[in-house]
Amino acid sequence: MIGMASCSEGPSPKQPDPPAPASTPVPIKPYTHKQILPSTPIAAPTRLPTTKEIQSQKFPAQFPLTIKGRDGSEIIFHKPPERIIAYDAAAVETIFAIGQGHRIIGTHSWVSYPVEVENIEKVGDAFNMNVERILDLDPDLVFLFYPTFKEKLEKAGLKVLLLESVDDDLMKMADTFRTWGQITGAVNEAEILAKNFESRVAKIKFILDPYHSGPSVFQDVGDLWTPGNNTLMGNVFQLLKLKNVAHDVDNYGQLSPEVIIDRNPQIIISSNPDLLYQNPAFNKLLPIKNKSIFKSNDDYLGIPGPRFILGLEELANEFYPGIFK
Amino acid sequence: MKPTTYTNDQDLVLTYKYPWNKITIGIVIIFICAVIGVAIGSVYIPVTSVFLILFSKLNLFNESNELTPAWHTIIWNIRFPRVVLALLVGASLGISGATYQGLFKNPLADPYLIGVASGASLGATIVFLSGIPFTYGYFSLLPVASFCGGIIAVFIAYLISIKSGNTHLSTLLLAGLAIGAFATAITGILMLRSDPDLRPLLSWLMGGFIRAQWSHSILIMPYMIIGVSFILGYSRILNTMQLEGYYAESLGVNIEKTKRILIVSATLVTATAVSFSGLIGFVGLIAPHIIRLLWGTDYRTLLPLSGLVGAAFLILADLAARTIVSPIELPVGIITALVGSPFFVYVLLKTKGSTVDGY
Repeated sequence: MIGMASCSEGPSPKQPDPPAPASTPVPIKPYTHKQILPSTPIAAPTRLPTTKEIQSQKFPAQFPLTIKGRDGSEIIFHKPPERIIAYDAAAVETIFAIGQGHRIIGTHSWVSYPVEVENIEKVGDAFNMNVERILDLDPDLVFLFYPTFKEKLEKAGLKVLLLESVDDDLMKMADTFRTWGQITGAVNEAEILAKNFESRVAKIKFILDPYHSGPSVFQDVGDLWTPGNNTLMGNVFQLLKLKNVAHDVDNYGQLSPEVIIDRNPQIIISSNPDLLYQNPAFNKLLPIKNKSIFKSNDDYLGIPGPRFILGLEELANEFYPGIFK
Repeated sequence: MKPTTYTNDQDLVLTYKYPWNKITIGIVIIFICAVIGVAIGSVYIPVTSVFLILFSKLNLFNESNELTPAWHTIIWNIRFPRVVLALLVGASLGISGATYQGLFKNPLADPYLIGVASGASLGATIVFLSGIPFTYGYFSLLPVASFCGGIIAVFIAYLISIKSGNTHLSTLLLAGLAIGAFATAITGILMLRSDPDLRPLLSWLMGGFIRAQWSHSILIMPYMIIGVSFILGYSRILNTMQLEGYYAESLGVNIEKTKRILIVSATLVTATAVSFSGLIGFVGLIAPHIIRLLWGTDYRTLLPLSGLVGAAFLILADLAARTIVSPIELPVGIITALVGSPFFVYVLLKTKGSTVDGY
């Protein structure tokens, strides 16, 4: 569900193309993605703070707290909310990850992690919301990941929060963790989570820094729909120096099959590889010839929460084998 | 309608010449559209190379080494099968559209009217959401399920109309609408209650040829040939059926049997088309009307020419769908509605004075 979550978050602000990776792209040659590009590191990594160090610094929880929503509106908290309806898989995972899961009283039916979610009431699915039931539950905060029901809930007198989308910059995920820490008062736990994320991303960045651009990639999220610019996955590909064959697609689009063949991706990521293996038009593409389509874990990369980094590291290890220790 | 409409055409009934010249023109136009469809795409390939690849496939001469294998794949495994599938589906929708319009004596009838589309969607949705692995080698369960769904919906509608004691076609039409609405509701419920990753299903429902393969055209062919042969074989009787019932019966036509054969044939053709291309609106509606406005209402001419217009139209619509916003694709249904409706209005205005008669 990589596509569904991020595309339903509404249009994210259009970003200019990021600068191209370090030097000239390597010409596409018939090699498998198992190979890596040669180079030498340019500098030793700066030391990252350890969990212990972060834990020792006590960040106090501060109330009253003002949080800026996606549309610029300010929401004031006088104390941590006790009855949260978290209408978003990433938010639920984050709140549980910082030990504040007991505050959640409702979510939507597609949220399935962590296991404790089983006992939390589902007040609709991702696109349909039982507003009456939400009012009945009397929450002191409703968190949404898309604005459709915002006005309706606000008119009913509820406190509604909609944070900035992380689609254009995955580093914003750490800020989202911190924001949840501030809201729930678990500032230290959130700081550990955020730092952990940042340092692991920084490690990937550092190790890949000396390398020129990596192999080209095509991700199929179903029926040749693929993430382009301004998407979380597009961002991930940039971080991993993978050349997205859909670099000229905005948000998500159904890429023309002949364009895929013409751009000849060296890596294909798909959660349903069989359909690609069976199409005779694609059987000359290397990942299909080698039966090496990477089956992505949508639970990780589809949800911009605490487990996202696992998906990111999984991709890094898969496509640059041996260089991440 | 008054039977007198046809008195002018008495000679037409008696000394009818098959419209070979019009059909030839139509086939030439389709051929041109097909060549354009194969030659143009989101990846630029020089026209000379396109022809070299096609001719080399036909063993007219050896393939030169300059042609990249990628181009070969694009022409032979993507564009060509896609154009052929669009041609077959367009022809199917055009012919079945004309048949339904004649059968129901209703200018608004289209191939999806009597529940075919909704039934097909439901069938596809059930298979898609059931988690059954729906592909086995080159064989896919999705088209089979949609085919079954479509046929079952029409069959139920037909049973209802028989049970109601009169097989009048308007009863069948209403039963079809009811079944269709019911199937759509079930599809909606299933989609609400299930996995969030519905994108492949949604894009299948929207219709298109992005998945087109040679095997699809080959699978479609037998059903289409059988269905279309029956329809064309009964085209003279479709003319007669435009008369009031008792006139037709006095001419010795077994109306009930013919109706049944035509409904089954048209549904067979439509369901087959739907199963590989999803739901593509408008083709079955406008293709027959264009022919009617241009060349009159004789079903012997109308049926084959509607097929040809539908085929040419859908080839060009698919070409637009895959090139307008290249490198991404649009659902072809958007193009057929976007281009089809203004064009249809143009034809209506252009031929004002004449009426869309003859259902």
